[in-house]
Amino acid sequence: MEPQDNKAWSKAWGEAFEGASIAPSEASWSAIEAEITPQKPSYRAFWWVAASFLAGVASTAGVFLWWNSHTEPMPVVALEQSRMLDDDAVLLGENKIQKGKEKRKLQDVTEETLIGEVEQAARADDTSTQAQWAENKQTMIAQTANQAPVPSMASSTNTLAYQWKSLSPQGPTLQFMKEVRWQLFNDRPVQWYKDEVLLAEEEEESSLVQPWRMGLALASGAMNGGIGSASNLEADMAFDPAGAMSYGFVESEDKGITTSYGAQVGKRVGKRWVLSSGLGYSVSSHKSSSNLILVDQGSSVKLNAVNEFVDTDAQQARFGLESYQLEVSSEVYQLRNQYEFISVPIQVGYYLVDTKWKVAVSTGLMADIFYRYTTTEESGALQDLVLRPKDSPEWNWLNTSLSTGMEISRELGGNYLLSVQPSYRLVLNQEGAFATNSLSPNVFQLGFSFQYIFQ
Amino acid sequence: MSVDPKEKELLEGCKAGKPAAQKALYTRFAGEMLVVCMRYTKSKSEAEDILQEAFIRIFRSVEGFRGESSLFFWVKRIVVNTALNHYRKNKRHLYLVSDESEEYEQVSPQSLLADMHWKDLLLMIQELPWGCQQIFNLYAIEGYTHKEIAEMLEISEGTSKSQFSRARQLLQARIGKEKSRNYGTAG
Repeated sequence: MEPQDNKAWSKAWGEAFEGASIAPSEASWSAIEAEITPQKPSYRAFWWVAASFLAGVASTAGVFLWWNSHTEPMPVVALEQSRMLDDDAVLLGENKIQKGKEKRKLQDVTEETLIGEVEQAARADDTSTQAQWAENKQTMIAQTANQAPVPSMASSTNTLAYQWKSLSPQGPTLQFMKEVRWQLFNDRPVQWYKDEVLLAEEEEESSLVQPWRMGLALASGAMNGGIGSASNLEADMAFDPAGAMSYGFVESEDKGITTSYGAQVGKRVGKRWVLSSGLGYSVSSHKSSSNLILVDQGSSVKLNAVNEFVDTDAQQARFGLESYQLEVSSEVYQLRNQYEFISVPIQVGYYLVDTKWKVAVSTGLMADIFYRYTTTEESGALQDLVLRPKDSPEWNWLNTSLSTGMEISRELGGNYLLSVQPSYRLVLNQEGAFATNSLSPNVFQLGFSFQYIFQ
Repeated sequence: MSVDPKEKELLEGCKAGKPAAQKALYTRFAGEMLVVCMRYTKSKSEAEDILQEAFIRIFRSVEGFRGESSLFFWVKRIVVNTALNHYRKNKRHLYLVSDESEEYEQVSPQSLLADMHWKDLLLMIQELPWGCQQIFNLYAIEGYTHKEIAEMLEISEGTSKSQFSRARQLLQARIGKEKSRNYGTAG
């Protein structure tokens, strides 16, 4: 076929269609007109945001209220009735070693009882412990020979008020009192009291408990569907098994709610693939009960309500222990624990359905940066405990978790997406502080999100 | 290029977003553009979808029209581009129709198409395989070169040529049959 022939042939076709016209349907212009006519300012998006926000707040508040109304506080049980004590319980204090059960308040702890604890520990079956205590005792004897004697305790009930002013210069001074610091340990698996103090940490490792949590969330962010940003609010309830200290008279359980706020951005990297990241701040709080107060090395404990003090420096000097922790069992306190952390997720999602209705599955990693842990005694009788990662090597400042879930969303007006996001979050590094303190934010959550899509 | 005063008025109205001007522009070109759309599709409803999309683009981009070509060609270019986008979006692949060695009658194009109504020709174009249809329209009616078509459709120039050749073959055979049916002769 010659090019010239092609041209002529083409020209004939072009001419055949010159002026050809078919009237479009009326609906065509209507459709065009609807698109090009400037819309009056619409508040629909605003109402969607407001409605989703209110729905989230209402559902979060509902869960919170429901949870509180269906959760009875842990009863203040006398240790006599505690399930953790059995007939072999060895009570503390010189001349008080006997079988039976005892309830003590903080002010009941005396020097004698403290010494009794040590003696009792030395009677443990474990030979290595005996050896350790024997060594400690020798050290104690050697050191106390060069130190001022620990003042005798008054026989009154107010026996914890050391006569610190009369101590030698090596003893505690008023300066130390300013560093009042006490710790309320909880959430540890229940252990038998006669587990020795110095072995306690080994016990902790073997008895980690991973809590499961369920929750509701209001999330607003752009996990997918383009680049977007918004805030995120989520809440969850924890259903943890009962936990307790690894040693001591402790009975605790916790249950709680997590709230988080954040912003997310997402970007499609393929027709159906999306990458997203963001930044979230979470507060996980739960209640617990504890009847053990543990005083760390070189610190003092203060019971505000009765203004009594226990200073452990004196005990340390007395026993000559390099690492000494004084655990004080007491009446049961109701505690509120709060963990704060910042999460940075990196997720990849895939759209299974990508119409006006969208269904996407996603998975990814979250870097959880632990920020602060606060324990508050609900009656206000005890001073708050605030711990940060730098306070203990036990606390990991960085933890990672795996997040997987799905998003069911509906496109609104081209630029908005309203979504429901069920997801599950699993902590990966269980050796971290989150695990040892029942902080592991393993969460099943249901989120509501409102997203803006940049076209 | 000087712009027709009426067209200028229409354009200014459209640029100002006046509904009456927009409607007038649509009325003026919609009929012819629907035929263009139908040449690139298989049905009128599909063609109307493309027409609507094209006119929305026209009204949204009318600000950018500088009068460097006639309004008709500017509108037509947007319509054709929209049709091609539609073709790409729906992932319609070029049918690589084999170039059968069937010879077509060497008759003059004018005589071949004489007495044929454009609506019949339109139906024949719509019956072509997708790839052939697009290339035939672009080359024979829109006047693009094979090189330009190759770039537009992201195919080789050779493919464009062979597909056009095949389209011509099919169309001539179809016309031959039509004439034979109507006049009892293949010539």
